[in-house]
This record gives sequence, structure tokens and C-alpha cells, in this order.
Amino acid sequence: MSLARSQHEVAVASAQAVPSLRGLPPGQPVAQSLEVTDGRPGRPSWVPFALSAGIDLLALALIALGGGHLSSYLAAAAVHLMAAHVATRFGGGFLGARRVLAGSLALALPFTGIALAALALVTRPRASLVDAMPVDYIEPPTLDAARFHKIAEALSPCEVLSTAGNHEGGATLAALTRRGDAASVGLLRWLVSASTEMAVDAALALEELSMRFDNGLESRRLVLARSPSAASALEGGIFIARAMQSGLVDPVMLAARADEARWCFALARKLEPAGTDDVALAWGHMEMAAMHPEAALRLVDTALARPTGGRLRPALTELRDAARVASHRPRGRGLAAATSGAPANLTA
Amino acid sequence: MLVEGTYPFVSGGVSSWVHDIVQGLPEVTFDMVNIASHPGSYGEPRYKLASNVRSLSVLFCRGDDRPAPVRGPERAALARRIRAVRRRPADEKPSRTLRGIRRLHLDDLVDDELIADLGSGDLDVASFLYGKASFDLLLEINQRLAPSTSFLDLFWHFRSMHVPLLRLLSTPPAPASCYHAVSTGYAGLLGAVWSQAQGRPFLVTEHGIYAREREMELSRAEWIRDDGEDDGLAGWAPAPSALRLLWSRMFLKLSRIAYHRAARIVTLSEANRQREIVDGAPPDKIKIVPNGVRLSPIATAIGAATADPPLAARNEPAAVTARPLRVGFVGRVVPIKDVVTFIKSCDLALRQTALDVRIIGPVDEDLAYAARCRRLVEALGRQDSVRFVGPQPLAQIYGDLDVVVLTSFSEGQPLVILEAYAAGLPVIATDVGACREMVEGRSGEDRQLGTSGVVTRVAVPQDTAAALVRLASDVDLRRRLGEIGRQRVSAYYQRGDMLDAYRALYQQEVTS
Repeated sequence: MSLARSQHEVAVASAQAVPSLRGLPPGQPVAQSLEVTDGRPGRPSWVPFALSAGIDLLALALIALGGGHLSSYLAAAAVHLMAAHVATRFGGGFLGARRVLAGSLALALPFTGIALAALALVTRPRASLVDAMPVDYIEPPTLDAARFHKIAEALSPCEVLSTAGNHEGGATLAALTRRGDAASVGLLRWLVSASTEMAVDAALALEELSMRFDNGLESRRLVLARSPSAASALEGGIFIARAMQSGLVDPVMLAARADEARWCFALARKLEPAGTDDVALAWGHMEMAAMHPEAALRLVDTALARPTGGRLRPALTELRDAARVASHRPRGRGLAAATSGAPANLTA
Repeated sequence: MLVEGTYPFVSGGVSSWVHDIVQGLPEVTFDMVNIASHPGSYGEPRYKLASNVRSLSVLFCRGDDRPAPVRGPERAALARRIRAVRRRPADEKPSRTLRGIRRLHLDDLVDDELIADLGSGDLDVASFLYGKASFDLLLEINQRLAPSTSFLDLFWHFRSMHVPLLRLLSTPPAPASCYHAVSTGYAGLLGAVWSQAQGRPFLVTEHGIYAREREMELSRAEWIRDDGEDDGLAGWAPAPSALRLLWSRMFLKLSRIAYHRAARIVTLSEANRQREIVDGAPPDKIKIVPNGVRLSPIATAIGAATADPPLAARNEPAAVTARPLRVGFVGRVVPIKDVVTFIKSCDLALRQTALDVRIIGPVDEDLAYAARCRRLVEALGRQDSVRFVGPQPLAQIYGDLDVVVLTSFSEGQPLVILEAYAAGLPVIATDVGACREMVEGRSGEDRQLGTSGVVTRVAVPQDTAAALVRLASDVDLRRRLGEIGRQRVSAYYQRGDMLDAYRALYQQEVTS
């Protein structure tokens, strides 16, 4: 089980290592990640405390002007209750115990209680590092009993795919084939190369995905041949780049597909010089997926050197940084070796 | 003999085998029953029927099952009859066929009663589609097996699942001394039902494992959605949908019905035998009869067709180093053979060594796939080295090759490997079906012969490329592997042995 888990993590990690086509039209997610938050929506404001204090002042005035009558004390108590209610009800952003604490202080100690609640809850605790960091609020998933049951029952994809003949394996393969994203392709490739009992099923699933890609590519070629336009050329290039990024284009085909994508991008640039930044960004990402970060760097540098700064400038800058890092990374065996023509295990 | 989707309309391993059996046993008279998907699914027959084939019937799983529309006075009369039926108290006898269908899904036991129920023929397709009893069964399956599945989905799956069964089961049994199904599934079911109805023996031969092959198809089915796929629980395997389980269990049950009724279950390899046992086949019924080829015609034809020296001298170093390694893919150009991986393997190997690659076999069975393979060769710029040469006579194929490669996703026991062995050629084959047994030996003495080729992983072109480069550079190794292959096929895979085994089986069952 631990082996299966670690292999799954490797598969997901390798999928996450693939850069995404940011700035391009939306597509399939490369990988999912989970962000951690303390669940605090932000600090509450001073306003409800000030209002509550004002209402408490009114209660004080009722007592002072009531001449010791019982009715004035009762009215003051009612107004004080209202002050406590305002402090808790409108102290926006309080959760759980904090709301109870604010209400209790405001109710138990007129004036001072509200001030104490404000001091305790509205000011920033100095010792909290988490509070000092800007954290995006994420709506926690709602988990009902059925979902808890499902989590308790469900296995990880690697676990169900490690043995043949279980129906969960079939369902998982079907899901991976339908998704066809980088994580799915990574997992399917692992199954094939690890020669597990599900290797044939996984190979068939990969073949299904490859066939879908080939058919999609062929239809784009036809569109481009029938009516060449910058948009269709760019779309063709992006289509290939996406497949390269997801790992669907295997090392044998990488060079050929990269050449075709380059041709598409060059055509798009020629047909519409004004859209150069879009082309440069997509082309750069494709070169990164083709393991040519130097080429990506050249493309992005040229685009950024132009004086007309556009909406894609941040994305281009980000890509330039990634390309710089990648161009200094040592090349090992693996994808680059395979594309250079050496079969992986000639001595096997 | 009952076959599903193969002989004589489709070429391929199973069809060749059937053709071989029919031709090799001229003393046996065959009535062929072919189970097809729908009218128009076949073209012209690919094989000429032998003189001992008395008849050929084709049964279709699907067709137009809607009753013909009724108009005018006939319609009024029909309406009166329907009203009369509705007024009558319900004294309808429950259908035995429907009881059998119920047991397919809700009962694990397979017995003679189940087969008799399914073969009772008391439920036609229209009654099933529009009858209350079948709708009640649908409701019961919904409540017991698929409570959270969309009822509409279940409704249509329920129909698609059972209409082929009912169409086939409504066919009156063809009289025979012995029934022989060349797969389980629909052919196995019909064979079991007919054999029980006629009180005649039943044989099953399984080349691939039917239930397993259907399971693989289901795992790629786009028309089944599994629970939990879309609920955002990323990282967890989806629970299989009840519909997937229904289909899967039904195919397994069909196999188990055939296994139960069969007097003997014949398979090709030990690997298949183990899978059949897992699927519920009684081990004592299973017999392994490997495929076989005729050795002498191949060797003679090769000798006559090639101008090269005889087999043993063909790979002399001087002659070999002068020309590129001649690599052959022999088979239909269809997705299951994974020709794409073969082409990619050759491309990788060509970066290291010179190859002369031929793809030998029909390309008209899946034109789109063949076009995809041609485009791949063009994209890789290998048109000069990789050629599609179409089907060729046996002698011409093997007399002009140095090595035979198989990259299939699925195989039973490929005849191509046996033919290559008969021609003294080494093979590179993926680890599917009986390929590993054929290359490394099945057991005992067979294994002691040594390996007669290289076994590779499925869909890993680097493995096949590495084997090609190795064989291209080592003439002695090639010769050694080819010689072991020749010894292996001559010892264990002779066509005569296979025919003798089936002759004995038929005689034994008919006389008993």
C-alpha cells in the first residue's frame, strides 16, 4: 500500500512539474492542489462595537432619568440586551467561540464588556504568524454523511489499479481516459511501464487518448488547409502544445509534433503580426514542453523587448523566469535522451 | 459450430483456426452458426467454405424489434382487444425466460434449471420491451442493485442488455450430434441452451477470455459514468457504477453458463486456463490444446520462393552485414495489433541501425486506423524504410524476413509466431495471451529448449526497439533463437497434433 501511495505521489508530482499554458484559452487542469487556511474570513470592524456602546449609553440615560422607577430599570435592561445583541449579531466575521465570547462580555459588563470584547477580538494578535500572512479564504467543502461514507470506502487510484479484475479498476481507467489530463496520462504511463496486471488496459486507454488527439489534430489540419487564418493556426499550435504538456505526445513523436506546432505558430505570426504576444506566449510554453527552454527564452525576450506592453506582459515575464531556470538545469537521460534517438534500454 | 463475429466473414486468428479445423477434419460435417451484431455488419465472406460445411446461418443480436404500425379498422380492432385484455383478471403465467434473466442478475448459482429457463422460449422481444412483468423485474433490479442510478439510464441499459439475448434464444435449435462454441458469451450461451434442449454434448473453445475482453471494453466505454467521478473528491478512485457492474456480471454469468454445460473446455495456454478457473470453470473440464501449423509446406515454400541459401546458411555474417535487418509485422492493420507502437519502435531502432521494415497484411478492415498509421510513418519521415505491402502468400512473407515482430494489445496464441518459428525466424512479441509461453516455453522440456525470441512490454516502443537493435547486431543470436523456435514448433505446435486432439474430443463426446 505504501508503495502504491508513493508511486501515485510520484505520478502526481511529475504531472505538476509540467508547466501549464497560463494565459492561453482555458483547458483541462494540469493538477489539483490543496491549499491550507485557518478558516478565518478576516478581521471584524469596529462599527458594531461603537453602535453597541451607544445603545448602552442610552440604557444609562434611562436609568439616570428614570427617577428610580422599576420600569426605567426594566427598560434599561432591555436596551442593554439589545446592545449585547448588536455586538454579537453584527460583529461580522466572528466564528463560533469568538461570537459567544463577544456576546458574553457585552452582556455581563455594560460599557467595559464591549470595550474588552473589541480589544480582544478586533486587534491583531502579535504572536500569530499565520495572521500576518495574506491568506485567500477558501470555502471548506461541505461533507455530508454520504460523502464521509464514500471517503471511508474509496481507495486511491493506484491501489485499485495495482491489481486486475476489480470493478473499481475499470471505473478508474474509464475516469482517467475521460479526463485525459496530465495527471491521468502520467498515471496511465506508469501503469504501462510498471508492467502491472492492468498494463494492457492502461495501454488501451492511452491508445484511446492518442487516437482522440490524432483525430483532433487531423481535423485542425483540414481547417487550416481549407481556410488558413491566424486564429486557426494558433489554435492548431496550442492543441499540439497542450498534448505535449500533458505527456500524451510520447518521446518518439515529440520532435515531429514540436516541428508541426512551430510551423503553426510561425504561420499565425505571419498572418497576424499584431497578435505576436499571444503567439510568443503559446510558442514559448510549447518549447518548454519540447525541452527547449533556450528557444522559449529567445521567443519571450524578443516579445518583451518590444515597447508595446500588453496584457500578456506578466505571463511572459513569468515564462521567462521559468525558462531561465530550466535552461540552467542539467540535461539527464529520460525525455531528452529519448528524443535524441537512443532507445532507453539497449543493453537490457 | 457456433462462432461470434468471426468465420467466415472476418479474417484473423480465430477465423483461421476455424478454417483450419473445418478443413482438417473432412470426416466431420459442420453446420456453422455465426452470431453477428446487426444486419449489414458483414461484407463478403473472407473464406471459401469447405465441402464438409453443410450450412451457414447468421443470427443477428439487433434488428428492428418494433411491431409494424397498425392503421384503420385493424387499429380499432386492436384497441378493442386491448380493452378486453385489460378487463380480464390477471391470470398470466410468469415467464420462465424472464425468471432466467432475473437469475442472471440476482442469483449467483448456475445450474441446469437456469439454462432450461433461458431456453424455454416463452418470451418474445416485444413482450419483453412492453410487458408489465419485465418492467417489474426492472424495478426489482433498480431497488436491489442500482438504487442510486438514474432510472432512465437503467431502463435503456436493461433493454440493450437483454434484447440480444432474447433474439438469440428465440431461435429454434439446429439439430446436431455435438455443439461446439468457439467462445463463451452469446455463442457459448446459445450452444449451452441448444445442447441441453437437444440432450447433446457441448464443447467450448476459448482463444481469448471472453469475460475479460468485455471487461476491458467496458473500462473504455464512454456510455457508462461511474459514481464519484464528478463530485470533486480528487485523488480517490470512483466507485464503479451499478450499470458497469450489471454488464460485467452478465458477461461473466454467460461464461459460467457455458462452463457449466460444457463437457470439455478447451483453451490454448496455461495462462488462459488459470483465468478460466478464476471465472468459475471447473479445472477438471479444462484441456489445453495449442494451435498448430504445418511445418513442411512453410519450409518447402520458403526454400522455393527465396533465392537465398537454405535456412541454416541464410544468416551467414557476410550476407547479413551487407543488408539491413528485414523486419516484418504480419497481421491485420487494426488497433488491437497496435501497429502504431510497431512503427514507433522501428523509428527508434532506425536511429541506431539500418532496417528494412514491411507491414504485411490487409489494410482494409479499419481504413481510418490504416490512414493513421501511414500518417505516422510520414510524420516520422520513414517512408523509405517502412512500407505497407498488403497481404502476401505465406512463402513470400517469411522467406524474405529476418525477424517477425508482434506489438499486439491482445492475442490468443498467434499463428504468426508459429509460422515464423516454422520458417526458422526469431520473434519479438508483447507479453499478451500465450506469447510468453510460446517464446520461453510452457513447462518442463519446453522451457529447457531455451527462449526463441524476446518478450516485450505492451505499448513500450523502447523495449521493441532495443530488441531490434540487439538482433540486428548479433547474427549468431538471431540464428540461435530461430533454431530454438523451429525445434519448439516442431515439438509442441504441429497442426496434426491439434487436429488429432479435436478429432478425439468429437469422437469421445459423440459416442459417450
